Amino acid sequence: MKKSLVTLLAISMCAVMLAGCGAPKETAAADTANDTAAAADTTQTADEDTDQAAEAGSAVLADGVLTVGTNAEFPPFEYVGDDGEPDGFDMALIKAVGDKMGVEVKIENMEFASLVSSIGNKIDVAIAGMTVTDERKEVVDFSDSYYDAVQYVIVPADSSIATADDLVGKTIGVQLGTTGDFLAQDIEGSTVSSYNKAVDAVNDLLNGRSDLVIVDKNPAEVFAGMYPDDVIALDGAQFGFEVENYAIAMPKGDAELANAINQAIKDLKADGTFDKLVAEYIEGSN
Amino acid sequence: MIDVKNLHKTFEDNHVLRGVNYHVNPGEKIVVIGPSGSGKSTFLRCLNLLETPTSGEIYLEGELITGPNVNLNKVRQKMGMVFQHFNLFNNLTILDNITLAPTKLKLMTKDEAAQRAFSLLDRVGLRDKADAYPSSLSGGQKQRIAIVRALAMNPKVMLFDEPTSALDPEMVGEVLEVMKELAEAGMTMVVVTHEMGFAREVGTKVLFMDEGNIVEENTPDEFFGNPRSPRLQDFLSKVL
Amino acid sequence: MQSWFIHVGEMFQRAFLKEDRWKLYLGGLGVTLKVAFFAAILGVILGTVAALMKLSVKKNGKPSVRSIIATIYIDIIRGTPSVVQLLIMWFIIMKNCRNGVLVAVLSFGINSGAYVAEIIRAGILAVDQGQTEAGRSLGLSQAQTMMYIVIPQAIKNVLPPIGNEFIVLLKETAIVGYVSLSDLTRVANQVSSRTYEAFMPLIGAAVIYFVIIKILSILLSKLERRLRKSDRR
Repeated sequence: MKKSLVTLLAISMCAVMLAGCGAPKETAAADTANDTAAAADTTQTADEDTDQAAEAGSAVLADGVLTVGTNAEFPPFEYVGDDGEPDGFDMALIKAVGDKMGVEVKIENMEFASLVSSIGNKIDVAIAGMTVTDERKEVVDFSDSYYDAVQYVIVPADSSIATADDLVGKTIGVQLGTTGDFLAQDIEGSTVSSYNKAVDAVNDLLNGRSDLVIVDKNPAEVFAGMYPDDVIALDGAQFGFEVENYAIAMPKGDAELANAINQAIKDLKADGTFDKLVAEYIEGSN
Repeated sequence: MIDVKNLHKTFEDNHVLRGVNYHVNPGEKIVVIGPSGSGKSTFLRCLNLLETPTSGEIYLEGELITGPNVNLNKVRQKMGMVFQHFNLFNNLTILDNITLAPTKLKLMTKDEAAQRAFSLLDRVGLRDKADAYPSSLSGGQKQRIAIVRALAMNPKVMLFDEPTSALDPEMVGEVLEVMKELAEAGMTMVVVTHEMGFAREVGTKVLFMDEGNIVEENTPDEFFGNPRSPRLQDFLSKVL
Repeated sequence: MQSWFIHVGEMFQRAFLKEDRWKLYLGGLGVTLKVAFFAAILGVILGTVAALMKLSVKKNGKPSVRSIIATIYIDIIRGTPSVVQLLIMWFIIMKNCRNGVLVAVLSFGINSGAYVAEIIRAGILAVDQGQTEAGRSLGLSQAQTMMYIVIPQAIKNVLPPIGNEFIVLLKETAIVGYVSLSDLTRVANQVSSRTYEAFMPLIGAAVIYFVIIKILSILLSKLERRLRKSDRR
């Protein structure tokens, strides 16, 4: 009696949870396509679905909605806009990409560190000023790079840090899971303080809790502009940091999706939309 | 010894004591009786200021104890109190119950207090319970210990608040016996009780309280043999 | 099925063994325990003081200034999320303090103190009023009566809910990652941001928390049993 009650409870709870997960999907057809794609991250399954969603050509796109993960804590690429929705260069770019591809773009704002592991289940692709790295490539595919960035080092205005050797043994503030985080880990004798937001790392630099902060060039310049008397932003090249390529992360092996996105980016660059967005969001913000 | 002048006590809108006046002489044994809600327990609790009087004055040995800058703790050291529900300290052994106050108040050394405790325990026949905890004692034993605990402070006056009301009938006698011995030894006592036999035998004066006032006061013989007020007559006809 | 096991084994290897990552978890656990332990001590001290302050009354029965201060403290702490308190402590009040563990201990200790205060207050109120009256009638002061009679009895009442509060506190420290402390939860996040796999680090952290709390609750119930034994003598 008790056992069957527990079983019943367990089943009903599972049912509720499944229903809850399925709810955002509008139609039954979209539902199946999406679930299949989520369950199996191999191209074969995705390809089998192509006749079901012939136009889009990819399981991810079958429902006409591209769910995009981002972490809106990284201005000017992404941040929460005045209307409470994620805004920024990446957001504008992915929406333009979606327009070219003929799909609706839905943005999911989440922790940066969980973006990559969410691709294929919670989100379809991720755009978040994400650098292409070999480690990430083991888990996801990347689109063509749409932006070249370099890591910058923010130091207090009176700091003597100037070369790679000066970084040894320092306390370094970073945003958890970002390129700066990885770079900092590799520096000899470093103590890495990882924050959820880059602005928190900069705040603690101002508070004297860390010696330097490693973030991407653009946010670094924004912060240096905010506190011109207190901090300076140094080009990572002088510390030997390599140039990085930002790209859109997507499920491994989905060639159709990759082609569609790469084509869209190419088109946007060709018709001048891309340069306009760079001017509006990135150069305009400095 | 104790002088009470125009004592009033109000609990929110309940006027419990309505201008009580009384004088207790040294060595007297005052027994207070009355129906429940008559204010007799409140009267007793006002005497050692467990209840703060709303108005009125109380003097102990000529000293005003209801004034503003009175050291209550010093006053209470002179007045022992025995409660209906014993209120032995559950976390302490019997010996510690008795010696806690004298030692913590630095009136005696630990040895002196223990010596005094044992001689008092001998008097009530409970020496063998010194190391026991209250929870292992019977009601009658607890109340005898409570009396000993109060006596250990060498008080000038002993106040008893219905000391036998919470006891099983067969244990009432042993407690009253201790109280009688105490009376014979000359202690000044104020006793709120329903034990009419005790009142008649031990009391030097008996008070009848009703509706917040002392209605009648007399020697035990007159009080019980010749009650004057109709309310007392009515009360006695019910309890005797 | 077999491949599944190999897959899990690889995930385990990446999450715990590769690059000696288990050392990270150990360090994270150290931070978690350090913060929780000292915060618990601070919480009990603050809570006891606040409880006694809140219980103090003026002679006319009205609440004293001390009790109003304690009430405000408890209200504010219980009325705001602990993560907000932690951020305020970190970025505003103690923004120049470089000892992160100290800031976290203060924040969580102050937070826990408010809850402990209410637990202790309830424990004291549960001790029969007659015990206090007996103490006072013997000439003991309010403080002496509290110290020797009421509090020893209240401890028995409050031990179970205090133990519960310790457990809540230990788990609540999982938010210190917000201010860049590498506690157990943060380490799990750091590892998963390296391996891009959330499963193993999170399950691993959960298991470690569970074991620690299980040990803690066993110790607490042992202590409880011993105290109750003295009651029965």
